Amino acid sequence: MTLYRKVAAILWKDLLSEFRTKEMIFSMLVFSLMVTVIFNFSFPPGSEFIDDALPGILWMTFVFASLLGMNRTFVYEVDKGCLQGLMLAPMSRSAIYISKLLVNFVFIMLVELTMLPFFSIFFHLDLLGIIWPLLLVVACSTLGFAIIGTLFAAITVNTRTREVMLPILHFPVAIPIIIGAVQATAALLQGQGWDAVWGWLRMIIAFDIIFLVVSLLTFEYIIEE
Amino acid sequence: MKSTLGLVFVLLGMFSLDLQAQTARLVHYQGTLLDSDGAPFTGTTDLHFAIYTRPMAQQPIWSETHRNVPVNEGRYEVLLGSENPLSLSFYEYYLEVKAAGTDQPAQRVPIAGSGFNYRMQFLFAAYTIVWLAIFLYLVTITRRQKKIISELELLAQSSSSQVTT
Amino acid sequence: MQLQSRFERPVRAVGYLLLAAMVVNLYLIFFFAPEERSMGQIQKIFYFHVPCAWVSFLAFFVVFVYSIAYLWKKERRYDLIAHSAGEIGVVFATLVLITGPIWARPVWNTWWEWSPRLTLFLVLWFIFVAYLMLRGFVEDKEKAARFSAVFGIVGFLDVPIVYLSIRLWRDIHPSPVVREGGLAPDMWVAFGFSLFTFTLLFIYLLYLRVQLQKSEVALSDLKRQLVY
Repeated sequence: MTLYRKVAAILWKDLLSEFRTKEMIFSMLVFSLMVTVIFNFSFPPGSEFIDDALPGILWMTFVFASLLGMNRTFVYEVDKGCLQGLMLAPMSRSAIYISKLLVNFVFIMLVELTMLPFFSIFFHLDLLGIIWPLLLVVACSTLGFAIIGTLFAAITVNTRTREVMLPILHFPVAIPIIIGAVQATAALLQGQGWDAVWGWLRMIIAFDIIFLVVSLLTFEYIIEE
Repeated sequence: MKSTLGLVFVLLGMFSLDLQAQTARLVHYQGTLLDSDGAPFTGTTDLHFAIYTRPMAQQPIWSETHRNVPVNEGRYEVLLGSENPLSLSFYEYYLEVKAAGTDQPAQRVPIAGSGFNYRMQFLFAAYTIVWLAIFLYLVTITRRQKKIISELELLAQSSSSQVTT
Repeated sequence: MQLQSRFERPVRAVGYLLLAAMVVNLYLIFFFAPEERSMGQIQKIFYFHVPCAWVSFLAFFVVFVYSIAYLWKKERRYDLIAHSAGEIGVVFATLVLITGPIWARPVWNTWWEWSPRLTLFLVLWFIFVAYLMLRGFVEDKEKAARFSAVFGIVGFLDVPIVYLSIRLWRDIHPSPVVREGGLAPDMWVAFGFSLFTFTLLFIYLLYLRVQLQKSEVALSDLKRQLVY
């Protein structure tokens, strides 16, 4: 079996099991909606600060939701002993990592894509005009979150305080993506040219590449027995 | 030995600083005054002085009006605090000068108040904290090390005595 | 693993050298270096604020190198060194974050500025603390070593990227910048010596901390042996 088919196999398994219960997606969505509404209440009504804060609100919502989702990635594997099964199967550790990465990416993207229309409605934004660059920014940033999130989730699933440990590890390391994503989104919303957006996007993509390589190199050390 | 090392340089540090702090009561100020055409003003005018703690602060912490200040070729000098005594205990101030009959105040100028000597307190605080932290860390490590070594010896002794019985 | 290190004598010599260096350093800072024109005496915080920052970076670099070494060779010693360096790094990063505001308050009239360097140090501090927390929260010692090694590597590689992103972010929101005056030659002497002293201090502390780690390991090994 080629790497592609192995990855596809695990990916399909995880997607299937999630779509049967829809637990994770649903909780992430409800959580995101709640966070967005609460953010709205943190500002005085009709305040002009909201416009400046919008990209930040958007991305904070996405970050929290993604952390929620990524926490679950390895929980079943470790708790039900599936991880040993995966490792006994004739596939490289990298295949496991890539498939988990893609699972996280798909789920977070689904939540984000669902949230964007809500943002548009709640905050009176015209997102359709900038939809393609926006999607590009969202995709690259989500990939970044997922790259380090998957790596760290594999670590934190073994710790005593799982749910808390992942944000603690993830947040400081994800700062470049957060800064880049917020600024790129702000540039898009303010109608700045592609150059401004590309400057930030470039940094996000560089981050993605660097940490993808590092994760692929170090993942095996995390799940070896 | 290691703890005395720490103690010594804490003491040395405390020796080397002077803690005298003084507050300024009078500030001698020289300024320039231009008229609305930008030419140096000559004559007498009332000048209103106010001191703020921040460039954009609305409320002055001190103000004083000097009447009939002689201005020669745009230059004047006053002794701030001569009518309303100053007791500046902050670190940096912004002085605003307003001439009578105008609406626009001159820019706020940063002046160093008595700040300089109070800065010594900050320097001393920072210094003490750094050395204290290093000292405490050293002491903690040494103490734990001693405790473990004594425990190790105790265990070694008891295990060897068990072997003999 | 042996407890009596063959470094015992040289380290004691280093200890005395360190004491002497600190005395000389104090003299250089407070009596030799001239007072800075615009800031006055408070500028002298610079002579230990910056070396603390340097030691933090050095500590983190040691964590990075020994994390890689541990994953590669799996020698326990490397893990102990990484752990110790991480701890010392947190101590010095905390000192940077304390002396920074103490310097800023009289000079800029504010306790905190989101300046690139100070912000970076805040993030660095969080990464270090997360590193130590990870070690604390994993049950199995061997797993803890592996996991923190991975995180140490990722964290260290992240630091320059974080700094870059903070700088770029600041460029669009410029705000009062510290007037970076040049240093007089005498100041360079005091500063250079300060760097030297703090580096020496770091090595000394690292050695002591690793020795403590080794003793703790020896103790737990012995206890386990006796139980069986």
